[in-house]
Amino acid sequence: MASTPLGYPAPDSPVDVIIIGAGFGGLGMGTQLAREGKSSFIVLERAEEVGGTWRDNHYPGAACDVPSHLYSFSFRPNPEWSRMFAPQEEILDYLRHVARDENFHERIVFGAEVTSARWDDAAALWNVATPKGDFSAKTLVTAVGHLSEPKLPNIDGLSDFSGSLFHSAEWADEVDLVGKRVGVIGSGATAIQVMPEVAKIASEVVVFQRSAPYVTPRPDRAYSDQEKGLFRKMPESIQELREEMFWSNEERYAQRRGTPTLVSAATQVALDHLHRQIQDPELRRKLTPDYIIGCKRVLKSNDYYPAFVQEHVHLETDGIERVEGNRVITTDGGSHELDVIVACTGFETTDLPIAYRIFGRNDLPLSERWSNGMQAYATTAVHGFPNLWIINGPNTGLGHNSAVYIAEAQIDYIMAAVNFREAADLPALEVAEEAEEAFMDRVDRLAEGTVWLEGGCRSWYVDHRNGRLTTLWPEPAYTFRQVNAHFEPEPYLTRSEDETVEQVLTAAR
Amino acid sequence: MKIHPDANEGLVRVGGFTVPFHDTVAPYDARATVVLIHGTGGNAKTHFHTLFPMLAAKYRVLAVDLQTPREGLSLGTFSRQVAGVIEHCVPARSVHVVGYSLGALVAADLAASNPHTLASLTLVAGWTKADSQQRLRNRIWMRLFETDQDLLREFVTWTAYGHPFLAGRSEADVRALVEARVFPDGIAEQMKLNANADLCGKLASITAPTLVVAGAHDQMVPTRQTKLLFGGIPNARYAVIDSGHAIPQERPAQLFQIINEFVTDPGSVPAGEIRERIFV
Repeated sequence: MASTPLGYPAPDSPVDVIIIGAGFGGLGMGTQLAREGKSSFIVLERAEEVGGTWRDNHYPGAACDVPSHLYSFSFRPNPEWSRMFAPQEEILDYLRHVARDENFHERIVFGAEVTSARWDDAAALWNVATPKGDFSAKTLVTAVGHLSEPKLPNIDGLSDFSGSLFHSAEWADEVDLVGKRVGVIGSGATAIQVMPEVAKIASEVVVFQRSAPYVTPRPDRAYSDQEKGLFRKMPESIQELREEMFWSNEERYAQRRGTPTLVSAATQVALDHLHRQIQDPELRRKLTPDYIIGCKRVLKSNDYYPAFVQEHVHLETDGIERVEGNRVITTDGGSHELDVIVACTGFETTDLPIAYRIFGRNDLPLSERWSNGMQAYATTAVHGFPNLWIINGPNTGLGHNSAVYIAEAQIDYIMAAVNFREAADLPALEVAEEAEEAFMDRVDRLAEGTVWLEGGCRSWYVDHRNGRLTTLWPEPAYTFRQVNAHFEPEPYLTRSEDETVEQVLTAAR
Repeated sequence: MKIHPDANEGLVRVGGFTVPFHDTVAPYDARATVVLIHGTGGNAKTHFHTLFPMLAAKYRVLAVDLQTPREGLSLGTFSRQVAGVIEHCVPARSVHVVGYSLGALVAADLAASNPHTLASLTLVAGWTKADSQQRLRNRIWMRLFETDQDLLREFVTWTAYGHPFLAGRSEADVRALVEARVFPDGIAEQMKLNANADLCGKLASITAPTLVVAGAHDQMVPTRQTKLLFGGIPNARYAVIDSGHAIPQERPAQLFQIINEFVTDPGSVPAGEIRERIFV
C-alpha cells in the first residue's frame, strides 16, 4: 500500500466527495477513492471509531454468519482470519486496518453525526451539518447501513422497567450479568448468539420468542497455521475459497424461489438439527417454525438449542403483555421477575432514519420522497437528489450471500459515476424519474414468486407500507453486480445552462 | 414431489421405449426452451434438482429421463429418445440442449444428427472417447459392481466429487453422500457405453454454437477430455468450474450462471474463446 498519507483537505472549502459512515460501505468507498488518487474527500462518522455495525454490535458471542473470507473486501483479502466465521472483534480489527493501511484514517471526522444534508441547487453542492462543523461537497455518498438504528419493541411499561434495560447493539458493558436474572427479547440472528453466552454466567435466562427461527448447523472451525501460511504465500488460494463460499451461498437462492423439493430439503436440514439437539417434545414443538424456510433469515448456530437444555434457561412463547416494575407479564397472565432485559429486537430497516436528514432539490426530505417505501435507480440513485449516492439502501440486502459483495458492486458504480461527472465537467447527475420507476418495476417483477413475499411470515425484508420487497435484492447475488455495478450515463438528467429545462444527458453531450 | 411446481410430467413412446419427461410448458409461454439430459445412473430429479428450478425461472425447461435397454445400448438409442421427446413437446422449434456427463455425449450425438433442432449445445463434463485412464476407472467400477457394491459406493463417491468439495465436508457428510448412492437398473449398460462410446467422427459436423464446461477437479472426465471436445467442435467455447465431476451438485449456481449467459445469446461469444469466470 502507498505509504504517504493523503493529507487533509483545506478547511472551509468544498471537497469533491463526502462519505457518511465509516463501516464496510464507507471504508470501501474511501479505499477506492484513495487508490484512484482522488484525495478530495472526507468521511463523517458519528462515533469515535470506525467499524459501523461491527463496532456497535459488540455483545457477547457476536460473530458473522457469512464466512469471513467472503465477508471481506475482494481488494483486501485477509490471510489471517482465525476461523471460518470470525468473531466481531476480529472483523472490527480488519476494518480498522483498512482505514489506516489505505492511508485515509486522517480523513475521517469522528463524532460528526450528520444532522442535515441539503442540496444547494445554485452552487451544485451538498451542505452537510454536524456537531463537528459544516462541510460541503459536490458529491454525497451515504453508507450508513441498514442495520445501524436499533429498534426497541413497543411494549407497555418497558421503558419504566426497574432493572437494567438495553438493546443488543448498545450493550451496557457496565452491567454485570453474573448471577442475574436476564430476559432476552427476540429470537433472531442476535438473540441466538447472545443467549448461549449470557446463559454461561446468568442465574436465570428467559427467552421471549415471538416466532421460532430456523436454525442450521454452523460449520465453523479454526484455520490451521498451514492454511494461513498457504493463504499468505498463495493469495489465489484465498480467491478459490472465496468463490467456493460464494457459489455455495448462491445455491441457497434456488430455495428462495419457492421450489418445493429444495425448500423441503432445506427445512429438513434445520429440523434434523433441532431434533438432534432437543429431545423434549414440548420444547421441540415451541422451537419449530411455523412459516416457510428462508422467509426470515436462516440462522446458524451449534450452541443455541443446547443452551435451552439447561435448567436455568427458559423459553417463553406467550407474547409480552406489559412490563411492571421488575416483572414481565405475558398475555396468558404469567410473569417473570428479571434483573436485566436485553432487547435483541433488530434494527430500523425499512424506514431509514438518515432519510429524514437528507434534503434534495426544493428542500424535499428523502423520507418524504420515500414515504411510500424506499426506492432507487440501480439501488443507489434517487430522482430529485442530484449527486447523491446511497450504499446499502433499497434492495441491497441478501437473504443468502455476502453484503460486502453488494457494497463493492455499488462502490464500483459510484466511482464510475463520479469519474464520469468530472470528465464530462457536469455540475450534477440526477437520475430521471422514469428510469427510476422502470428500474423498480423490474425489481418488482423479479420479486414475484419469491418466498419473501409469499412465505407467510412477517420479516424486515418487506415494507409493510406498500407490501414491496424494498430491502432485499430478489435475484441471485451475482446478478446484482451485473445489473448494478456498471454506470451508464443515459438515465441521468442534467440542467441546461438556463437551469430550467432538463435534458437527457446523452443529448446534452 | 415434482422436480418443479410448474413441471408437467408426461410420457412419450419412442422406438419401443416409454420415455418420461418433465416440461414446464404453460399456455402462451414463448420463452426459449432448455432441454436437460442427465448422465450415468441418474435421472432428471437426481442430477438437476437445483439446476432445473434455477433455469425454470427464466426458460421453459424440458428434462428427459433416459430409458436403458437390456442390451445393445448405443448413443443413438438415447439421442433418438431425446429427439422424440423434443419433437413431441416442442415441435418445429429449435431448442437449447444441455447434456451432463454421458448426457453430454448424447447431446453431441443429437446435435451431429439433427443439426437444425438445436439453437445451442452445452456439454457439461463430457468426453470424446474414453482414454486409458478412464477405461481403468471403468474396469474397477465393473469389478466392484459385481463383487462389492458397498465398496463401489465409496469408490464412486470418491471419484464423483472434487477433492476440495470432499475435503471441505465432515466425515458424517461424506458418509451421507456414500449412503445415498444407488445403482439403478441399466447402470452397468450405461457404464459399458461410457467405455465404448466414440464421438470422434462426429464432432466436426456439429454446427450449433457450443459451450464446453469442464470441472477443474474432475477425476472421471479429466480436463484433457473436455479440452478435446473443445478442440474437436468447430463452433465451441470453453468454461471451467472449480468442481469435480458432480458439477450440478457441487456448483449448481455457477453452472446456471454460465449456461444462462451462453443460452441468452449463444453467438455473442466468439467460437474458440475461453470464458473468464465472473468476478466474486
